[in-house]
Amino acid sequence: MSPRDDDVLRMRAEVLALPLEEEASAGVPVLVFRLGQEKYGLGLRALTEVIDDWRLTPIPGAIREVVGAINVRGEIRAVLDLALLLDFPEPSTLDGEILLLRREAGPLGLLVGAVDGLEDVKKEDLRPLSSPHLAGVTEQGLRVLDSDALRDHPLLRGRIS
Amino acid sequence: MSLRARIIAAFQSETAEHLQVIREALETPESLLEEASYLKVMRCAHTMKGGSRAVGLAVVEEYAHALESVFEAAHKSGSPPGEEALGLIHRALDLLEDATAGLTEERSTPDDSELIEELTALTQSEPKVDSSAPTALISAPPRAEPVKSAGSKDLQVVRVPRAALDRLLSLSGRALSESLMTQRTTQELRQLSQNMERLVAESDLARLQQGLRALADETQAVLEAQSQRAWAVQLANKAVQNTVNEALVVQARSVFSDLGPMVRELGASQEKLVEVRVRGLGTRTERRLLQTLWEPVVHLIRNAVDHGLQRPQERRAAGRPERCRLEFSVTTSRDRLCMVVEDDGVGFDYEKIRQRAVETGRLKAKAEPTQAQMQELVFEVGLSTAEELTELSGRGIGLSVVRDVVHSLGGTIRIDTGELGGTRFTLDVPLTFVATSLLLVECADQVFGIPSGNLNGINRVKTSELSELQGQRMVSLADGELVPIKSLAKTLGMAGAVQTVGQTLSYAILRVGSRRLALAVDGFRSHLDAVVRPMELPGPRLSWLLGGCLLDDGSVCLVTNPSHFIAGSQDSDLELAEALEEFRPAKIMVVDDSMTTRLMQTAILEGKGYEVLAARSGVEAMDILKDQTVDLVVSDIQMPEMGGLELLETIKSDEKLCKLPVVLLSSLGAREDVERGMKLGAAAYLVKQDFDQEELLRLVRQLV
Repeated sequence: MSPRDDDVLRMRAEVLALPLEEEASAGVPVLVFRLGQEKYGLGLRALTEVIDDWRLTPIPGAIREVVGAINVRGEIRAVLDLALLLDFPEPSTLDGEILLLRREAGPLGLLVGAVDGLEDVKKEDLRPLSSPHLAGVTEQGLRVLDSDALRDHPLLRGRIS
Repeated sequence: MSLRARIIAAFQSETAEHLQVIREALETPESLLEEASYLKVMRCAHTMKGGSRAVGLAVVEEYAHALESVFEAAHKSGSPPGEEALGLIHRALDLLEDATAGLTEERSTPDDSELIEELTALTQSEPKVDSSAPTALISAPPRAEPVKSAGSKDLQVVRVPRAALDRLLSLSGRALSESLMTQRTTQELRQLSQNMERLVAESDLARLQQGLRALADETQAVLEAQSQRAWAVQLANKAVQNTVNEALVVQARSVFSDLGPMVRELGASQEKLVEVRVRGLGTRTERRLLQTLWEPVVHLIRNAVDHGLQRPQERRAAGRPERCRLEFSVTTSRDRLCMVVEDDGVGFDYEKIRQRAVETGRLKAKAEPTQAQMQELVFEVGLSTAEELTELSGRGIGLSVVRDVVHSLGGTIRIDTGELGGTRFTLDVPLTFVATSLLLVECADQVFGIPSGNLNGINRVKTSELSELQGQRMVSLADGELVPIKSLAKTLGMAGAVQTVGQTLSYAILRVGSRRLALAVDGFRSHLDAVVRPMELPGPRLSWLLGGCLLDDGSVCLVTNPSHFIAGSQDSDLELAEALEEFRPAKIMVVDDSMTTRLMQTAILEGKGYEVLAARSGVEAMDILKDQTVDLVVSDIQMPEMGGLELLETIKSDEKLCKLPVVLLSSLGAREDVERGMKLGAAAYLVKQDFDQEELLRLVRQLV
């Protein structure tokens, strides 16, 4: 069993240890951040951590979505611009924060704008949107991302080069 | 551990070493005629003899004695042992190995008195052996239990020597206490902050000034204390890291020691005569890799014994020696671990594999797979061509697992016929925490690493001395060869010109195979020994990127793959730009009585575009300072005439010079020197013994 398998098992255990979702009543904790002009949210369970103090090393020749690499406690992680992954026309500026997306192949960084905080979002409050990336939008205009769809993005599926 | 157990353990490891020495010497039997090699072999045999008495292994004593006599006879006769004799000797060595292993494994002690007789016979007359005799001697007696479960080496558990753990514990304790010392810095800073707050309310100008003066002194004191604490923390952590690395590196023997006995036992249980050669067990490498590769290797070996190697009668019928050969070797290069399992058996039946592939739909009936595709098929699930499934292997799933394990380590596995004419598996995996020596270069405001293994030198050249050949800019190297010069930035697809300082260009010379190339960079940083790790990078693979490593400041440094530059296209327009038009080089005076140090520092600083004046002592330095203005002094402490501390004192008491920053270099980091220097107003101190040019340059940049 590789350390990575260990990670996977540990993560699964953690997820399983979380209290069960009360049927659509308690809501799910969602991290709220800016992306372009909009407010976006991503389920906390899809993330391993938020990094606000980082030093990015650009990678020449990499695809446009890859903004660079950072050191996360001794591990080197690529960072991708979430705005570009979501097909925004404009890339993010380099003054935001980096979310570490939890994945089987190890965490990957997502560059976003400023992080506002946590919000509990109930499933029934989400109005569906046609976008493939979104689970829906709340009445207050918070666009909640579908973390499974995000992890299934061709650039996030995972491959060691 | 009982005393006896300890003695046995010592005897086993000692014997393993002796056996290896003897086996290695026998690779070239002629070496027995050379005095040095002969004495070494004799000493090994003799020591084994002595040791065997202590553990009560009479049989070892007998064999060792017989071997001694054989070596002696060969040495005296002046002719190396022939094929037959070598066969006997190897069998004796194998038996010795098995007997030693048997001490702790509850096996019957192998005995083969006929072998002893044969060995003795060799010494009595000319080394003439009746060729019919050996067939009667089936080497190891068959054993009740075939082979212990191969999976007993638990990969999740790592054995670390007790001493290493103890050391680690004490070192981490030290690291912790040193890091706790930095809490004091926090307190001191808090105090400073309060003092500052109080000062803000001060309205009296004189008292404000006085308060500010005091504050400046306090700040300086905190700075000094903190820099020492940070240093101590760094040292302690480095020691921890070194110990961890040591604990994780072991000899291959610690994992693969029982391979030889295992194979012979396996062979004996199938009535096959196997001559095993195991090489490179002394190789020190990563424990984790050895443990991970243990199972695949055992699998390959079992496959070889089960399907590759044949019984004596089959071998005889095929006109081959009855004894089969199986070899296993471990080697490491700078950053790879390589294991080879090779046999002289029947090899793969590629036609049968092809048929099976067609049957199972993996291959079209008319397809003509390439060599590479065939290799791939060998590893595919369910392609066992063994006529019968044995208990031990031939389940067909094995090879794909072997391949997957090797791939998961980022390695490769190859199959070929090998030198023995049977099957050879070559497993090649990258080492994961071996530090690679890197040259750090600056390029377009970024730092890149170039592996020193491919580095042929670094140099600088006046831009006017560059030439052109068929549209490609060329530079003439020290040995006269004209090689292409390319911009690193442009090769990586970055915009921007290469920076020159004083119309002089810095370049690194790369060598890949027989080809050389100059890579123009903005400047050199330093050397760094770092672990280069592959990184997950979404998108197409970048051929120039070998991986990433971490710099001292915690940022990620990308490491380049030199072969990319050699293979790359021409770079016809080498765009150059002089750094900062209004650049006035800062003047730095280097004071040291050692010419080597003066030259080295001068070279480092001049390479960065600084103007450097050198002095041999404090007196000479003061002489120069009389009529020359400099921006910084870097001085050794211990010098004849006037030492660094005196020089510092003289400078600080001089009205005109007192603002001039002075960096002290002390050879031993003697605390009292450092403290005195700081009191006298030194801007910084560096310890010479772990002199780091990057540290010096950083200080210089800061101070001028």
